[in-house]
Amino acid sequence: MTTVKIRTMSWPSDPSEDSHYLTEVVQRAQAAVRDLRQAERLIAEVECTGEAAQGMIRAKAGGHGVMRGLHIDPRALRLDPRALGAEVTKAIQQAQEAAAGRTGEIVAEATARVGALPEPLDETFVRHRVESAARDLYSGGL
Amino acid sequence: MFGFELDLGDLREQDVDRSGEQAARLEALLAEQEERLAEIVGTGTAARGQVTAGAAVDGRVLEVTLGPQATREGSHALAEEILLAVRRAQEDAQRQAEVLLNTAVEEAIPGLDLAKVNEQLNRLG
Repeated sequence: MTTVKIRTMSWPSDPSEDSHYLTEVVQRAQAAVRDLRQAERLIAEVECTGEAAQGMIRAKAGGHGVMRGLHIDPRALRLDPRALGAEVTKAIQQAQEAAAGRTGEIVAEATARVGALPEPLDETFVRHRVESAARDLYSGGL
Repeated sequence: MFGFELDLGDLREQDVDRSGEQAARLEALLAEQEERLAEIVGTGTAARGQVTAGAAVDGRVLEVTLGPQATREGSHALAEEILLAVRRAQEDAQRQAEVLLNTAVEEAIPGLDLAKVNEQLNRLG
């Protein structure tokens, strides 16, 4: 399992570092998109197994509740239909729960990475910069 | 009429306001529907009714039941028929969810064509 590195970013205090900051923001955004695509690929590859009836029934489930396979050993047919149905249900549910758990992990990891994105550059950033430029101007003039 | 005939290249302020209102209504609606969606049980059958499956809207299998003649064709065929019944139950749950949402949206915002909105969103992406 990969570890998630979170380093928060905040606006540079010095306006001369703005362009460097912007480059980093863009790079981080690109990395976040790459991470999300990777998460999608990983979810598509999820395959978990569930077993019941002492291993005579094996079910395989994928990332979105999709069933990938079901194997029933001929010996399991000795069970009466009601019991066999219950065992099949158990194996399928176990496989789906495991797949949902794995999918949840992948989503949580991807979300943590996206959550580490820097603050968006909104109008407060611009106002802050304009105010500080104005301050510099006034203090320079006096 | 404005409806959702948005020209994305020519948005006016009142269009944005109106879209905002509609979005807020849709959001409230979706929250309302969440519970009803969770209650959906899709059903699917296979092997001439000898295999029945129930599934929730997220694809979770709720139950598989077998009739007395379900095992007649052997274990391999039975497994295939169970997978088929499960897939049909999942599809049925999806269909029910679609009908539920379309009906609710139609009640909340008459004239809104979800398919068209989806198409517009996809063009944006």
